Amino acid sequence: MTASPLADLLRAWRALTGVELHYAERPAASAAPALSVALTHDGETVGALSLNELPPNFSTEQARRWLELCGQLLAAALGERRVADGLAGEVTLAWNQLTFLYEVLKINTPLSDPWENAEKLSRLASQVFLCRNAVIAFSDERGLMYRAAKPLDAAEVQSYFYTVARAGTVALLPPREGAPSFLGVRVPLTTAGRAIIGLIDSERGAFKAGDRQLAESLAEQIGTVMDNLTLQRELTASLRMKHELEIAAEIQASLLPTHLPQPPGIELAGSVMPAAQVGGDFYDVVELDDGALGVLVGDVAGKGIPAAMFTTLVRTELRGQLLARSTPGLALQRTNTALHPDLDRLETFATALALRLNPNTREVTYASAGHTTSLRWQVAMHAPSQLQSTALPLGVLPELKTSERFFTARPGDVIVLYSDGVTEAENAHGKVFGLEGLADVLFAAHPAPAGAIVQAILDGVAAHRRTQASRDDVTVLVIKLGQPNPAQAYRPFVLPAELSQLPRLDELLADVFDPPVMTPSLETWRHEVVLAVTELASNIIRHAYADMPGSRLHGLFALYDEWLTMDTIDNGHPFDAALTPHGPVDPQTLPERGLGLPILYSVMNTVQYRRLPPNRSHWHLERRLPPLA
Amino acid sequence: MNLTTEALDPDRVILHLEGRFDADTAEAFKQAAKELAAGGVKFMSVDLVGVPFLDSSGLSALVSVFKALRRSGGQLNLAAAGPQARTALRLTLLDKILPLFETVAEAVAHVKP
Repeated sequence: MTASPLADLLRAWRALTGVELHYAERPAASAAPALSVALTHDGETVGALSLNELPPNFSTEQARRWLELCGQLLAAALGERRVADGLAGEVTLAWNQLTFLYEVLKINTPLSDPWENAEKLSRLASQVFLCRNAVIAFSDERGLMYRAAKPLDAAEVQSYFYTVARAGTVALLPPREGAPSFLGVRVPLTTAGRAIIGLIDSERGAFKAGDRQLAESLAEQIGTVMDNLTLQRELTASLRMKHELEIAAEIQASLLPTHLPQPPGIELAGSVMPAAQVGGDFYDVVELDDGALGVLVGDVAGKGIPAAMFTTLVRTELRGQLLARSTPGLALQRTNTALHPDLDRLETFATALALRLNPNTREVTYASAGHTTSLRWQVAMHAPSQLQSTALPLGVLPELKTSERFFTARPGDVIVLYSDGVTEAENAHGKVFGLEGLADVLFAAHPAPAGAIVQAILDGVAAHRRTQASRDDVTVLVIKLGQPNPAQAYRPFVLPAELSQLPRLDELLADVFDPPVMTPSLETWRHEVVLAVTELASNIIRHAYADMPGSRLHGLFALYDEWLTMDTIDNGHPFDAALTPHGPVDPQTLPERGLGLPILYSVMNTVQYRRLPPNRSHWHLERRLPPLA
Repeated sequence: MNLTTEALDPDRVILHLEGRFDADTAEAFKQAAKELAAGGVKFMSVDLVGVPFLDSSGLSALVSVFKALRRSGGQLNLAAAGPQARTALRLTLLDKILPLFETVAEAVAHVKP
C-alpha cells in the first residue's frame, strides 16, 4: 500500500474495470474524454477524473455514476489528507470502500431482491466502515423489515429510523453516554415506504465525513434496487391479474356456440360484446333428436375465473339434460341437484332459462330458474311480455321446485334472450336503458330478420350509452318464428335524437334502396324521400323531444316490390294533427315556419301517426317506388 | 355549414354557403344574414353551389331573410342550386317566390335594380 490515495484509486479502478482512469489537477481542456467529473471538497475544486473509454459492459450512465462515486471518495480522502497528512488508514479505507461499492453493484443487479443479499451487505458494510454493526431497514404499512450484520432488536431499529427522520436525510452522531456512535442515512425511494442504512459503533471512535459520503452513495444504490424491486412486484401482480382475465375471457368465449342451427321456419341470431370484466353469461342452442330446438340462457353470479368456470359447469349440465330428453323443468331440477353442493359451498348461484321449441308447430315450453331477462314480442299484441320465472335460481335450495309454461307463438313473433348488460346499460346521467328501451327497439325493428334485430338492440344500447363505457357483457340471442319476411330488405336503426344525426338517414335509406344505375328520375325520387324522412326526424327531435335531451329515435326502413316504407318510434310529446299545419302551404304567404310536414305529406303516398299508450308515438310512411331503369 | 361573405358594394353581397343547410345550421345563417342587413346590406345573392342538402329549416331561414330585405327595399335571390335544393324549392312551391339563377354572375346582376 503506497501513501498516495490517488495512485491507489487509479490502480483499483484499473483492476476492477479493465480501463485506465485519469486524474488531472484541473479539468482537461484539450482532449475530449468519454466522461469527466470534477472533484470538489468543501466547495473547492481539487482536480478532475476522466475516462477515455467506457469500461466493458458499462452503460454511460453506470460509468458516470461510478466515476462520481470515485470522485467523492477521492475528494474525501484528499481533503482529509490535507487536514492531517499521512493518514494511511484513510487510504486503505478508500480502497476497501471502492471494492465494497463494486461488490454492492455486482450483487444488486437491477432485478435482484435486496433482502436476499442484505445480510451479506450489512456484514460487508460493518467491515468496510470499520464499525461493530450495520443494518439495512425498510418500513411501510405492512411493518418493519431489516437485516443486520449482528443481532439487533426491532425496537432499536425503530429508534434509528426516528433518529434519521428527525435529522432529515443523514444522522451523524458521536458516541454518547450509553449510546454508541451512529451514522444513519435515509435510502432515497421513489416508490412507497421508507428505508435507512444504519452504521453502528465505529471502531475509530466516531464516523467521519468520508464515511458519510460513502454511506450516501451506498444508500442511493440500494434505493435504486429497492425501487426496481417494488415496481417489478407491482408489474408481476398486474400481469397475473391480466392473465386471469384473459383466461376467464377464453373460457367464456368457448362457451358460446360457434354456429347456430337454422331449422326451416325459424331464424336465430346471437351476439356477445364482452366487457372489460368477464361475467358469467352464457347461451346455447342444441338440436334435439325429435326435431325440436333446445335453447339455454343463463348467468352465474360473480365475475372472473370462478364465474366463468361455473358457467361451464352449469351450461354443460343443462345441455346434457336437454339432449337426454329432459323437459325444460326437469333439466333445471336435475342441474340444481347436481350442482347445488358446489354452488352452495362457494356461496354463489345461477339464473337460467331452458326452452324447447317445436319449429313446425311453434309450440314453446320453458322453465326459468330466476332468469328474468327474456321476453317475447307478440306481433298480434304489438307489445312485449316477459317470460316469467318459474323457480328460484339454481344453487339456492337442495331441491328445486318448478313448473313449466307453454305458449304457441304466432308467425312473426320474436323471442329475445339477453343479459342484464342490455337493460342495465347506463348513460352519462345514470339512466338505464331498461326494458322500455328494449321494447322501443323491438317496436320498430321486429319485422326485420333476426340478425338485423340483434344489431338494432346493440345499436340501441350504444345510442343510449353514447360515450359511457360498458361494465357488463352485452349478450343477445334473438329467435324469430314464422314464414320468410315479406320485404326484400330491412334496415332497422336507432339514433340519438340530435340534429347532428340527420345526415345518417341518407346512408340508412341507401342500405335498402341502392339501384345499380341512378337515373335522374331515380335521383329525384331519392332526394324527395330523404328530404321527407329528414323533415319527420327533424320534427320529432325539435318538437316531440323539445325538452328531453338524451332521447333516441328508433326506426325501420323496409323495401317491398313496389313500396318503400319507413316506421319511427319515439317517446316524445304527442303530435296533434289538429294543432300542427301539415297541408299544402301557399307560398304567397311567405311562410317562415311549418314547411316540414307539408313536404312530408306531399312526398309520401301514406303518412300515418298513432299514439301508443302510455308514451310512444308511431309514424308509418309509404312511398311507391319509381319505375326502375 | 361554412358561410363566406363577398362584399360587392356597401349594400350588396354574395353569401357563399358550404355544407348542409338544415335544422342544425339554419339558425346560424339567419343570424349572420340579419347582422349584415343591420349593417346596411340590402341586396344578397345566396350561392348554393356548395350545399348538398337543403331542408325546410334552411328554406324558412331564406324566406325570413327575403322578407326582411324586401321590407327595407332590398332583395334576396339564389344561385347555382343543385338537384336536391331544387327538389326542396319545388316541393314547397318556393321556387315561385325566391328568384333562382343558374350562375352567381346572373344572380348578382339581377339582385340590385
